[in-house]
Amino acid sequence: MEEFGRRQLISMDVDGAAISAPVLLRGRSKAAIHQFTQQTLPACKPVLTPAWVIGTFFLMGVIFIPVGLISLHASQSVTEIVDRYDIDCVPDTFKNNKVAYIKNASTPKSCHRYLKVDKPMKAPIYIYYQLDNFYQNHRRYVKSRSDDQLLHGLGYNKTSSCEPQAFENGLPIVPCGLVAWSLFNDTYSFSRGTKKLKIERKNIAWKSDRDHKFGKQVYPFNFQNGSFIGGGKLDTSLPLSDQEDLIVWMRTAAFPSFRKLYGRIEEDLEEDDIIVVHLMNNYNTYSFGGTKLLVLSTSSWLGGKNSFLGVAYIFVGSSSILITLIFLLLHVKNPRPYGDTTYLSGGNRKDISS
Amino acid sequence: MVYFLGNETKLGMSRGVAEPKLTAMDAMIDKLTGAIFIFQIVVVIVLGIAGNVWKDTEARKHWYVLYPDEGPWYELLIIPLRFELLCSIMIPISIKVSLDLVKSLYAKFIDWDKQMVDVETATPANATNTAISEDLGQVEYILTDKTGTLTENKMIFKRCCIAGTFFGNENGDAVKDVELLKAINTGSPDAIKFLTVMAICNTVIPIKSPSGIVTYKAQSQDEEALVRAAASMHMDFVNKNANILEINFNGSLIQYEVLDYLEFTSDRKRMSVVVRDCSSNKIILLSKGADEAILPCAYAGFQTKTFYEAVDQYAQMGLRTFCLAWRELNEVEYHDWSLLFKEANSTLVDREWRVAEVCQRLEQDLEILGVAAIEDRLQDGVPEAIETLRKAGINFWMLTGDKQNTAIQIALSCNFVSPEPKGQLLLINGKTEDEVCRNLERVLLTMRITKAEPKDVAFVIDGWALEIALKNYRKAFTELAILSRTAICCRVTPSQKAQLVELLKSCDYRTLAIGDGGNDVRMIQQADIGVGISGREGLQAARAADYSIGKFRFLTRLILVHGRYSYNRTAFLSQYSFYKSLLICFIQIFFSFVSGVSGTSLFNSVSLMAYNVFYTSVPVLVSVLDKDLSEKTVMQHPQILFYCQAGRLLNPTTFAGWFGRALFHAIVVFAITMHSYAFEKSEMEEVSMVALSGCVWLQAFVVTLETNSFTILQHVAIWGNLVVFYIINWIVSALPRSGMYTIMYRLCRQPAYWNTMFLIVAAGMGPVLALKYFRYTYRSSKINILQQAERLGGPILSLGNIEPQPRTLDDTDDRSPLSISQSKNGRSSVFEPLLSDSPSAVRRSFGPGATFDFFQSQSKSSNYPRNKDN
Repeated sequence: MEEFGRRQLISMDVDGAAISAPVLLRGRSKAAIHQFTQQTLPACKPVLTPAWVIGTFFLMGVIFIPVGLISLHASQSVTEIVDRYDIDCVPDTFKNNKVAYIKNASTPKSCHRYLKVDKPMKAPIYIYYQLDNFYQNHRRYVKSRSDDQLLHGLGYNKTSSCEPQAFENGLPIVPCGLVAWSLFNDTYSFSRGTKKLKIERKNIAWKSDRDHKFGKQVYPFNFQNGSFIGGGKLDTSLPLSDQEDLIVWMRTAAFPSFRKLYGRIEEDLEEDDIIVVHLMNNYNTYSFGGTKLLVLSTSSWLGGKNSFLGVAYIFVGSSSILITLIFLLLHVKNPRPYGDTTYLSGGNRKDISS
Repeated sequence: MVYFLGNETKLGMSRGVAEPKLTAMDAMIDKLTGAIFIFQIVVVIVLGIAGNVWKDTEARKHWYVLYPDEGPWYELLIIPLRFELLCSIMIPISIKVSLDLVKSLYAKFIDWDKQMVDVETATPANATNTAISEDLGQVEYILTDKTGTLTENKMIFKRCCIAGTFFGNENGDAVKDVELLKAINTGSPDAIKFLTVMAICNTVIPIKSPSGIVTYKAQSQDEEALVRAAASMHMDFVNKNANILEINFNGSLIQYEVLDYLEFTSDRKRMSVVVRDCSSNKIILLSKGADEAILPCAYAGFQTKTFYEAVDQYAQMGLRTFCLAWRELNEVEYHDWSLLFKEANSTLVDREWRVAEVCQRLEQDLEILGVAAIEDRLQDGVPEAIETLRKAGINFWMLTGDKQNTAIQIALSCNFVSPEPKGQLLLINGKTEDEVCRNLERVLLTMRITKAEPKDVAFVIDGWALEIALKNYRKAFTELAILSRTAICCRVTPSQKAQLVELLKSCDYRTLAIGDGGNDVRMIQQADIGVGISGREGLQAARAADYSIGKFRFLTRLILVHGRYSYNRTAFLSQYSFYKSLLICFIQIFFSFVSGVSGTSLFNSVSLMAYNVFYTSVPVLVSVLDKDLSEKTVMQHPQILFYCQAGRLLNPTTFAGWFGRALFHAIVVFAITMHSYAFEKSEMEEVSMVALSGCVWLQAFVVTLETNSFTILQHVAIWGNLVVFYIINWIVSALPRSGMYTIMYRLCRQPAYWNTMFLIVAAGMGPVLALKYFRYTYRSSKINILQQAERLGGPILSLGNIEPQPRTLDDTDDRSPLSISQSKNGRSSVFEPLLSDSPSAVRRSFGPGATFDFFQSQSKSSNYPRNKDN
């Protein structure tokens, strides 16, 4: 050991000559390194004692139930009106052949819906359209876009990712890809009584998308010019950064049932108001059995109406309390001496007793 | 002139070829990887088929996906291949890197360990092979050499018997025995002849330093010891000049001319020198060697009885014995013989045998001078080390070239076997097949009977019998090897040592061979783990070995501390690596169910890469500092090593636990994300980040829950990693070019995000914590009990001192060791968090009734600290 110590001392001296100022600090780090190499770093060894575990579960219950209640309350405070219109907006003559109706450009697509406001709704009231059974997350679909083209326009021509909607008639499509091609094109306008409700259609897309993802100088080109027209058309006079419906649509949804923002109503709605919705039922969800819904919703600090978080919190909280009780009961009924080493020395005791 | 050098020397030839070693753990990990691979293939095939079916029945209706009506035939393969790509993360590539990293750290810890530095020679322990530390914790058999390994290999001449008179019996040191000195001083011819043989019958070369001090260079420690002893009794071997040997006896110089060396071979077991006394011109043959090689060569009518007694007596004391003999030759006889000898030496065919035969002719009619006994002391702490390791359930075999009695004595003195009546030695001797066979059967029968009793039975076999047994009765011998916890093999050759290792390995036991000399190299290379003692016989063994230590007693620390920790840490690390890969992969699979089974990846490639490389691998790397029990506790309760030996912490069952945990956590993360981020929040990038954060949060808590001891580094790694996760994602979110531009800022501002995280952690960890606590408290494993005891006793000084509560003595019945050993499988099938016993974790058994019984072995170890107190 002496030899070893001496070697260390020498190396310390060498170090000391090089850096002399922070001696204390260096000494401490030296000790720390020693502790590390000898695996003797000071460590705390938590043990799952009943007090700790039962306490943790109890605390979890005590915190989670109120948070759940608050979340539930937040969700309850949101008023929403949901109206499925895709079936009712098909004229009776086409009821048995909805696909033919939607594909026929000459059939009238306009439709009226009457929504009754059950509870007063404070502005802003968000207007969403909801699609069900629509796979915006399908691999073939979600990949079929070109973010570079959206930003740089025709100047960017490596749009092979957009297939099969990259070129039409030999010319590039802007914006290319299936996502843009399938742009949702039902339109809604609202009136209360005889007065038209003003809908704010600006600022529905993320500002970051408008500013940095979609080009201010990029205009639609050769879009929906093919024989097979997908969804909506775009106003060729507006740059992509101002085509907010497109920007919203191109934020693809992760689940086959999703809502996208259409606009905002900036007025309060009173109880028992009847809202008349004038809508153009253009979008084809009939061929794959999807549904279209119109949603008017206020919002809370937690977002829209979604009681899942609240319910889940209450469930987890009450389960914790249940576990607390079970463990408490077990502990009282069947106390186990901690660290009872009789198990270990049992072998000897058996020898003696037998 | 050098005839043979390098690898063509005897040592080199007997070394054999070293094979790359694979630890039991790596083998298990490979097996599990294979299983996961099969699982992956199944998943890919099932999802691939489901994907194609969905495509043909559903996707074509979804016009916005724009599937072409007809595609080439290979389109069928595209979806399975996409799933193969998605599922390829199921097998963690990082596990190899992480394991290599931690393994090299384990090795470094061994190198750095100051408690394994041999103070005398300042040699630290060294791990040459950095890949097999875990195996140290799983050792079941230790095969040890005797000389230099258990003993110091510091030979000291202690006693002798000259012409029937015993010297050194009273004071234990013949050199200081007054009677002997008197005999020398009075010129007793027997004593002087004896000393002369001691001094010159050897191949030692004296080297005179300028200061006049003579040092000796000897091939064998024994020869050096004899020469030194002779020198201290005034028979000083001072110089060797070509063939002239000079001896300074009581001040007068005597010269001898060496005529021939009759070399030592392990077959002849003796060596002789023919010298001419320069003053009297007499030719003398001086011989020394093992008793059975010398005593039968005595001239007819010579009374060898006392010498046999002396040899026995010395061997009983554990001393090494040499018989010394002498004969005067007449000129003619020598002349005739020397011609024969020269001829034999120059033959090309069978030279060794011819030489031996010629030597035999001269080494006859010897006058036996006496018996010299050399002591080779046990190293410090050897008995304690062996006792501790035997308590840890490790079986010891001693393989030595020494004679049977010496070996048995050493074995007794270092706790190899308990003395009678507790211990019992069963001898297997015999020169013929029949004898060996009969002996073997007898011993086997005894073994089978005594198995039930808590008796310490060991068998002793010598090299000759071993040769026959291995050749003709291999099966019986194998059974014996398995039944017997202890064996002493004496008079064995290096290749036999290796064969024994091979035999035990073929029964699927983890073997550790420890030795110090060149003759152990083969065994060291053959064994699963080779440990070399960097001792006096050179560094050959230490170089060939996987680990080299300075002293035998460090083996305890090497196995119980380093081996055990390495095993535990790797067990956690490897299973955790699978857990985190499976977790993310299961989420991808679940996501494919809501994305039209099209193989969309929920996570972007950067996140996936970072998840494997940073978020999940850094926190777990510090598990190399984890200690489930303190070193002291492990040393006091070596039985706890059983968990490692039996592979309790890493086996298919424990792995199934981790697999289940991954599945459960994936369901928690995915279901909660999907429901709390439904409808207007279901933006792809956001959902992906929520799910990823959920995984990262969960894994931080999983590591926390599975860590037994937190040093500052663990805290930094676990919580720092979480912070780093957010920092990295904030940075990426700040880049307008990246897909997740602004996403992380958005999420962090949403109360719903944090609510979701806490919900995921609580829902994911709650059940795991509850289950772990339940097992920890109500189905405790021994490790848990010791942890609890450690906790109670603060710095655990002696667990044995904790007073047993009187109550515990009453319910002995339900806590009898049987209830936790034999019925362990029935009563509590679980031991560790989501880990459990399994049939495969139970000790391998060979034949009926040969199951290993940990507690029986435990009861064998008599002096448990607690009982001492009672």
